[in-house]
Amino acid sequence: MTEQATTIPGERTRRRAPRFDWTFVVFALLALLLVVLVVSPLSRLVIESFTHPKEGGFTLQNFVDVFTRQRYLTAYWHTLQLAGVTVAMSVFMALPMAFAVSRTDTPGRGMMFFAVLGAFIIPPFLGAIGWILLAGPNAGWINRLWEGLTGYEEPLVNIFSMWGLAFVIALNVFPLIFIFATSAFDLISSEMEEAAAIHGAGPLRTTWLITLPLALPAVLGACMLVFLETIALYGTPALIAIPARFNVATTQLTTFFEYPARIELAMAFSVPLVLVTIVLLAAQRLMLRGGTVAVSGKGGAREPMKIGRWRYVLLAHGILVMLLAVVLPAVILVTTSFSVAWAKPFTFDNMTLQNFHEILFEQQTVRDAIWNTYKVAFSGATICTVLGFMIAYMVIRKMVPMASILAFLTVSPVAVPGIVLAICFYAAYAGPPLSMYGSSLLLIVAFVTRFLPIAFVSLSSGVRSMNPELEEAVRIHGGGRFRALTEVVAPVLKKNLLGVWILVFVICSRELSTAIFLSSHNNRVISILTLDLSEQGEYENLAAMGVLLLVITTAVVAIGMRFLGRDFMLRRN
Amino acid sequence: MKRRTFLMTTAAAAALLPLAANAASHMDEKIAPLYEAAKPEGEITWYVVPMDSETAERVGQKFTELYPGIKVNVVRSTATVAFQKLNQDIDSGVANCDVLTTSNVAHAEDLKSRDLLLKYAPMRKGEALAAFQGADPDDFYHITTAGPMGIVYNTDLVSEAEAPKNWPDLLDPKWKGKLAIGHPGFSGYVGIWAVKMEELYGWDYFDKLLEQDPYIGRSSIDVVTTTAAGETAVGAGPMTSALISAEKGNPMATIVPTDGMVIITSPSCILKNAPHPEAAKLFMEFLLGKEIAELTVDQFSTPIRGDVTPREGVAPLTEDNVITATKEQIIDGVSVTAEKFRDTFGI
Repeated sequence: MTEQATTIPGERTRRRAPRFDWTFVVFALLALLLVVLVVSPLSRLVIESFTHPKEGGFTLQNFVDVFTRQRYLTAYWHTLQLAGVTVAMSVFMALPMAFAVSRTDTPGRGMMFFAVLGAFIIPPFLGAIGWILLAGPNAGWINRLWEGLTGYEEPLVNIFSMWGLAFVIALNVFPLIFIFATSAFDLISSEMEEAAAIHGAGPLRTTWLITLPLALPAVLGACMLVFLETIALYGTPALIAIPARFNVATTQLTTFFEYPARIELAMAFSVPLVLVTIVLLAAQRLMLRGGTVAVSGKGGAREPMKIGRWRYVLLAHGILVMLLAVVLPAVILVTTSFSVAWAKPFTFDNMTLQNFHEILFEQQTVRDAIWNTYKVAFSGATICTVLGFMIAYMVIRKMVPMASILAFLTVSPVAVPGIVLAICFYAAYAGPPLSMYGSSLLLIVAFVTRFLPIAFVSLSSGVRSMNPELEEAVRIHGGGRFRALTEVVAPVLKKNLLGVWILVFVICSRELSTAIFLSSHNNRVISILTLDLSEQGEYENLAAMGVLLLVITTAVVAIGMRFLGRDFMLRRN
Repeated sequence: MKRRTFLMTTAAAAALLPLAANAASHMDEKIAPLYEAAKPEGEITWYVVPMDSETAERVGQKFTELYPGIKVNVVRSTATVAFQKLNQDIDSGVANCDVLTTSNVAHAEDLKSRDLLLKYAPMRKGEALAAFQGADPDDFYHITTAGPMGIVYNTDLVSEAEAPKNWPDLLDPKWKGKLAIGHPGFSGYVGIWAVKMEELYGWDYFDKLLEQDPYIGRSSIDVVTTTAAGETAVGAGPMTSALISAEKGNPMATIVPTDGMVIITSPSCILKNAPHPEAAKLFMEFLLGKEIAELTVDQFSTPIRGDVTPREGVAPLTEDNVITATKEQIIDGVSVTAEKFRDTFGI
């Protein structure tokens, strides 16, 4: 880049004095920062899992301990089962919707879009609480309705089971498949479908033979992401898997932290999870690369398929998913938050503002947690956006040698499940010499590391889409790189930046897995407090907290949509 | 209840100044110098187990009301989680906790053996009932609450006649899928209860319990909330929480098992590295004092002092209706039993 600049005639003479090249300083700083954020914590995984806890030194004993306990192995097996079922359920929820929205003339496509957005906004642990209230085997509203209608005492649905757990997780993660599937469907040219139609295929046959196979790689890739989300999730299993007596890897991981804490076992137990993640991510990349010749570019014309009466099937499916994922949990949370006792009918006698009074005015703990949540989310989102932008710019414009190393370091936390990342941060920074345990800073740092890949990937594509001529113009007129960055690139990309900021803000405000081992009472965030208070099963106060969280988050998203257009949250690269 | 709380809060706020003066003048003569020493510290962090978070917050507010200028940070969790967090603090060299009140005396004993506790002989230690005195001869910890585990049931679903009368009655097949218990790997109450059940009825009791397909909460308090909601019909839970729930209008009642309630006595201790040591000592006095006893007795607790009377409905402790675990049983037994429980129940 610098060489290219010197070839422009006259540029050198116009400079008053040779400037100090700040890029290397910035590079060094960023590299150092990434060592702190990524290399140091993640290296703990390898170091601790192979280290003898007492004597130090290399050992394989930790792995032997982990792989010879039946209960630990069962937890892995349960996790695999759970993830498999969750993937199947989310495909069933997402794929017809994605197809309807992207390819057909089904009515109510806007509504489906909001269903997906809503499912994305509701934090997993709140969805889980909502579904405990709805589908608890005896007191859940659905089962009581069922008993009232049919007289059968056997519950219709039991949330406290592997199926229930998978169902609740699927309701939360299906937007991932929806996003990938719609973007694949959007790129399929109608010509192929028309060709099939000309040869006499009906809509069903065309879809089955043409559309679905073309979108398959993207859908499979998304399935793997769902699989990874599921094996790394802690909140929903803590609420549902323990009563269901279904031990999964993440609930097992937390027991290693019981006194006496066995970090080395936790690390050894995490290693297979990380390996599975790396393998699946690699497979996903391969899949998205090959076999999609027909899905290249936006060339062909796209007409919504006329699918006749199938429209209504798809519409019904969309409404059902929206009810299950958004409307029912939201309604039950809101009514519970205004109830004296959640299991009683929502009548006038049973209505109260006491739960909100309790959390807003009585319980100092809750107020602290709310404040802390937004402090962490605000800082996390801001740091992620700024850092992601700087790294993306340096990498895309190849401003420094070995820029690809920066890129690699930045995205590598993707391969580490959130709960494992928390253990790594705990091992690296909680104790002496830094003793950051219990500080908000530790949470912010961990959140930044976890979500930096999202900011980086998203902003990279923004920077890539910009023609470098604009920045060169600044440089020709004597402006520095920094000036080009702040006065030209950032303003041009301001929508991308704001979009990334809001996205990271929302996911920070509800993140639980990464916070789990890093929280003491000083830096508790809402998600952690919800989990702590859920031990006592007091769902009325929990629901009030959840409603408050949802209101604030929804407001932020609504503001974002107003400025950025409605699909900013769901756009992925 | 709600209105009363609200009115009380407003009244307290309106009368803050005179009240503060009042508190100071009526304050126990012996305590006054301790308050003076504690006041500059301004706050105290209390890790607390044997009460629900609402009651714990009220206790904290009561302390601030009595000793203005000292705020209480309440951190409520199950015994195992509290101990885990405390040990994370210790391992990472961070001093957070001033006073720990836990339902598992083994945790206090363990901290004592690791030389992590501050020795303190409260001025009020002789004021508790004799049975609750002298838990630790070396004065590193003191019993500050006592609570019984009994049988709780949902009165909408179960009549008094058909309710279980003793612990083995919970194994009756009619409660299959309708029974709630807590998890000894989380709850100190359930840990001690499980140790005593194993002693009385053998591990067979838990094998049969598994066949009942029980709902397993983490905290013993979850047993009460789940049963009150009708999700389960009967359960083994803390009787104090059950009575609080009944007073709120939930269909909830308690049974004193014929083979005895399991009494859990919870010790409090001051951490050696407590960031607010003087306030912690004052808090220890407070925990043993009459004001907190009156407050928690109103919340159906079993008082540890003789000069407060328990509320109606709170079963008095007599020789033939209680089961108590020895300190040794708790220290040696709870973690072993919890591990066996995990193997039996798979979680």
